[in-house]
Amino acid sequence: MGFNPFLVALIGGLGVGSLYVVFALGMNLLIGVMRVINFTHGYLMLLGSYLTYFLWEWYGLNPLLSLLVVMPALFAVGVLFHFIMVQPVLKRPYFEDTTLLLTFAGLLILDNVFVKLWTDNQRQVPTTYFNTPVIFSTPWGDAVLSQVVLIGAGLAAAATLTLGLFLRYTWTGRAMRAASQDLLAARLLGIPATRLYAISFGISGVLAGIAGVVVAMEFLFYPEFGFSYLLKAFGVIMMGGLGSLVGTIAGGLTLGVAESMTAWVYNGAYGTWANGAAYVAILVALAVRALLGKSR
Amino acid sequence: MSAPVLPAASPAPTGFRDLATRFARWNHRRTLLIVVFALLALLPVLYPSPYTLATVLFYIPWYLAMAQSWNISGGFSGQLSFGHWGLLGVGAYTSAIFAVTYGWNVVSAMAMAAVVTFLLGLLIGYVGSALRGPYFAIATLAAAALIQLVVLNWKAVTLGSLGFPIFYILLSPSDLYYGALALGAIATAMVYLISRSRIGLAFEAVRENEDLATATGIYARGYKALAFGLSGAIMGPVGGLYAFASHYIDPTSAFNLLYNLQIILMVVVGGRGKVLGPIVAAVVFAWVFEVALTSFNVYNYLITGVVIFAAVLLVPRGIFGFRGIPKALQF
Repeated sequence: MGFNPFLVALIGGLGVGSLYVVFALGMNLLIGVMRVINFTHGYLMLLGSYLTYFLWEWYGLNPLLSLLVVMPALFAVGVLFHFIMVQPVLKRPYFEDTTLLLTFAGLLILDNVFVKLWTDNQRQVPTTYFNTPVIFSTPWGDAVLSQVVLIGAGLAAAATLTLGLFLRYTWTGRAMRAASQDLLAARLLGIPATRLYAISFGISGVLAGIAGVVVAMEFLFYPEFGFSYLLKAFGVIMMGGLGSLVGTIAGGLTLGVAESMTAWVYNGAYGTWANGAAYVAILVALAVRALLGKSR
Repeated sequence: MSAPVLPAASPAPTGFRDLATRFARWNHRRTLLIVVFALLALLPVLYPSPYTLATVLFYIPWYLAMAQSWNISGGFSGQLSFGHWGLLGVGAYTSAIFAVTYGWNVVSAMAMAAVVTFLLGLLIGYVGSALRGPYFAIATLAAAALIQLVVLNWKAVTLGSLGFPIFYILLSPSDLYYGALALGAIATAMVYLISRSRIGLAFEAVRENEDLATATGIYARGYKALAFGLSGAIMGPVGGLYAFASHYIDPTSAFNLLYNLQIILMVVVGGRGKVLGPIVAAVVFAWVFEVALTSFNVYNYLITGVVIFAAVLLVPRGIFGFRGIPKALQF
């Protein structure tokens, strides 16, 4: 039996969607815990991608093994970003708007620095997984997927599961959930806000780093990638709900499938419409919120 | 016991001193604004080269108009907009299409652009008013990106990625400059009048506490939509001027997020919701971006980012917001 294009698009969409999940989770964690929208998140992810790339280029390190370097490095960068961009304005009025401006300024700086350091060239860590197809046979036809997407989806699933368990069973994770429900009450109960915020930012960085490793294996990446992923993550978060873990998973997979379906339907001349799925997702989610009268 | 003796009421102030006080209270602001714009109007006399006028000086009032436009929504009603680049692009394309495809004259094409961006601004402002703060910012960013995508793909009207040529409409450099200056003056007048009117009070009430404003009978969503619509009405003709100045627009040059960020920078440095500060910041940074740094423009993002960062951290109330600065300049 031949390929079923619908199934191919569906499976491919779920594969890409799993990447969106792990990427958007990092952003949504910060929104949940400290009401900070981190515009530099896409560039944190790219930092992970470039680190993976250069570890491979210089030392021939397997991209999956480079996770061992990328995760602690991105944790440190995340904590650093907290002390640069959030800590100084923690007590300001309009905290959310102020951090938005600061992280957007950070995005501009990082984008320019990345382009100057590493140019606009498209890079990728070539792996044997990339060229290995995996074929699923179903009664409705076959679906095909690159092995690397399967590995990426596995990584994403593992990261999401670990985060869920972390939030549920560790003291720090429970403190994060407490802070996202009611910050004042959490502080009154003795949760050290600054340390908690710094750790959240670090974990957000780790999630970005994992997404970055997957990106380095799956795609040709270049500095502007960080920005387009940012918009996709907004789409995921707007659909899934602010600060919601399950919502992010559902939103990410939905966006991935929506994009690949758009690309399949408008094949060829309208190929650029696929990027629009994220924008439409944001605006539809927004319009639904407006109709329901929810302001957050 | 006699009735307590009340102190005599002081007489209502009259005479020269009162006139001077009134003048100081009322008119120094207008006078100052008129002087600033007169100086800007004289600028082409100092640099008579038409080339400089069209390629460099033009951008000073052009940025000024955009900064004041952003100030209406971003400064008064507190809507952080990352969607003004979309309005700018729509203005550029509307003006170009009406002037070239339909053969309208330049002024009516730009007026049409103002109408279109006003309505678009009203729509975005109204739908977006359900979201607050950062979420509104994201929604406007997505709306602008979607508009850019539509322009890119609507090939029958916009010619898509080929770009839209406007070769046969030649505006003289001084037309461009004074057109931009007129738009800057209109935008500044709007900001000034808003800052002194009930509408401005309503905008600020909505910005400070939307729930409280609603509870006191202010229709918050309407005012937010109005602020964004007024702001959009300026962006339309500003985009038109951009189109006529560059003779050729395409979906990446007319839709440029960097312009949006630069005008945010100008308003943040000048002070959100102020009249004079953003003018000074716009003039200074238009000069910085278009004159001082033309050979460094690969670093435009970096510089914009660093300045926004420094301004947010160091001068949260704008350059004229310091304690030592005369009160007369803080408006």
